[in-house]
Amino acid sequence: MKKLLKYQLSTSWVSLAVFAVVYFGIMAFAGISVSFSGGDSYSQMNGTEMAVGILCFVIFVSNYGDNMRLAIQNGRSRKSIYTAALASAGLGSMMLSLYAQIIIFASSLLFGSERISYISMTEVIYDTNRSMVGHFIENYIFTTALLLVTAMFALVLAAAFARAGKYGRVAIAAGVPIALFVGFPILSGIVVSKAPALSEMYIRLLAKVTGVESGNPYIGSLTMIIAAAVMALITYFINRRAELKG
Amino acid sequence: MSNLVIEGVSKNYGSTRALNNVNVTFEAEKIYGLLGRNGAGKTTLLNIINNRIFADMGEITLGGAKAPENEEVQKKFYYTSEQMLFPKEMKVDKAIKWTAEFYPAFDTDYALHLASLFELPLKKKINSLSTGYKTIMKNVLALSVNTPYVFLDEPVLGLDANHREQFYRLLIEKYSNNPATYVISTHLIEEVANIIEEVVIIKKGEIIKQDSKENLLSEGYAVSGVASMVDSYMKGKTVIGVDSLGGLKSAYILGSPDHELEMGLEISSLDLQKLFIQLTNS
Amino acid sequence: MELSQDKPIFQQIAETIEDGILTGSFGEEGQIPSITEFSVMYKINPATANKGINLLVDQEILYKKRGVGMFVAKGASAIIKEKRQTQFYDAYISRLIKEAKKLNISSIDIIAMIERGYDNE
Repeated sequence: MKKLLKYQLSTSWVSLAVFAVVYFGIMAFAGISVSFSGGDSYSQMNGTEMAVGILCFVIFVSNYGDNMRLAIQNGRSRKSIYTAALASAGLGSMMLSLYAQIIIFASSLLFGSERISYISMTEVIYDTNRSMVGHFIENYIFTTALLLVTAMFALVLAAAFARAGKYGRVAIAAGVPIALFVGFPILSGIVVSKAPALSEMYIRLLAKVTGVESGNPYIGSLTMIIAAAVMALITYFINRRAELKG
Repeated sequence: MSNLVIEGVSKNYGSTRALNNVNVTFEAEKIYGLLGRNGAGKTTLLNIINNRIFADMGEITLGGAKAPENEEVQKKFYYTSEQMLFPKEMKVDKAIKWTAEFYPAFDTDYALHLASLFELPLKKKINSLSTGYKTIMKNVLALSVNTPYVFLDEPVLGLDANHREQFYRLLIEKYSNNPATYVISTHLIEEVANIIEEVVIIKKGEIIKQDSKENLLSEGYAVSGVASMVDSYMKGKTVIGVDSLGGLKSAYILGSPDHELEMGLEISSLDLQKLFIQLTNS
Repeated sequence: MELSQDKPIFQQIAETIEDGILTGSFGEEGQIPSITEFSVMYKINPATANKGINLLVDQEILYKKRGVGMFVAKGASAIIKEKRQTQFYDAYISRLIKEAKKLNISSIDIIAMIERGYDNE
């Protein structure tokens, strides 16, 4: 499995390096340009971890197929491939999360002012009153959980895609974005207008489960980790009998 | 090194039975020809052995250990097929490097030597190679990997005559110096006939012959001459096929030729390609 | 160097080696090419080349020096000549007569042709 991890790292380090530079660059650029522009405008570079989440998703989704094919060509089992994918999702999430927190903290120190704020997504969602160290731990755990979820989601999609036939693939490629960005909002809209009591209950449940109600990011983190675990299990079953098609 | 035993393997694709109760054994350190027409099931069988797809029924074992999803067994196999399983953007030298990483016995110096023999450009991306050179790259890896079992699916597809000859000579040299089991799956029978020691013939998903080439060819003979003479000679014999051209005829017969032969009839040995054609014509 | 269809390949290999010994290309007590070299040259399976060579080892025309290779035995030329003289009738005369009969050439004509041949060739 070590070799598989080594391989995965070798194929993604360039994207990671580029992202690392661009991420810091944009943070810096925002801060510097604000200090040069006059006026009382107030900018927010908040919740930038979202970008890291997207990076995570893209890397896992795009590398899965190639990685699996190369692993099978070199005599590795699907179980190994799966374990390596989980390991890199876990390790990757922890490292990227750390990097994100460091950049946010550094940007806040270097470029932050009354005119521009750099806040972690955690603080945006949850209104907590903690010490700096407390904040850091909270943010780190929440971000790691978030990245884990995006990585697992990417793996589920990629595994399903690999296993699907011609039409299945079209269904996934078109269906998932449509469901997320079109279907879900429309459905929510309908539920809200037609069954307000139901949507009330749903929103209440969501608030509880994500810890927003209690203002506790650890609950949100736990929920995300559970979601990630469920997706990991689904991926395992999809991957187990995946056949390499032409 | 143990034998690779395939028992009762069947595979369906929807309503089509691609493989039907396949039983075959591959022994150590022999060159096998896995011969079959287009669509006979050769690639399906190799894909199953090499963990690319799963059999619906049956067992594949190496020395008793199951082959599917078992890295201990799969690391003793190397398989090159028409499918290109390397990332298209990868460069040739990286493909060599990573194969060496995953296969400890891989001989990188030899691989680089072969690459220069074939004029395979090391710094080019795989997807920018011609079909022939993609095949050459796969062959370079297969000849350098040093696993006990090497499976080659149509290893000369797209290769020009010079490269084909070069490949066969290198394969023979490699096999002679480092014996291993090579399974060459092909429909180009004539070219591999002298190189293979063992023959496995697959027809419509079933194994119809599995024997040494020597035994297979000694099973019968060809008799040629004037059509009427051949016809009378054929009486009472097991004829597996005939060729006619005008008044001349050739018959392919199982068994041993008669001691006394009429003048005008010529006996020659069975040719593997002719035997194959006769056996696999529907 | 071409292989023909009418005789088993291992036999052709053996005969090629014998020819080489008779013509002096392979001297007695000298080494002959390895099995690998023969197989590559003729593009045949090494087991086939091995079979041809073993045939000659059995007939004491060749011997093996472990770790070095195959060598021509002393007196190999003589053994080959004797063997081929015995086989000469079946290998050449029989076919010649069959063909001559096909073409209605009498035995007297054949003898005349043979004598002519010995004078000229």
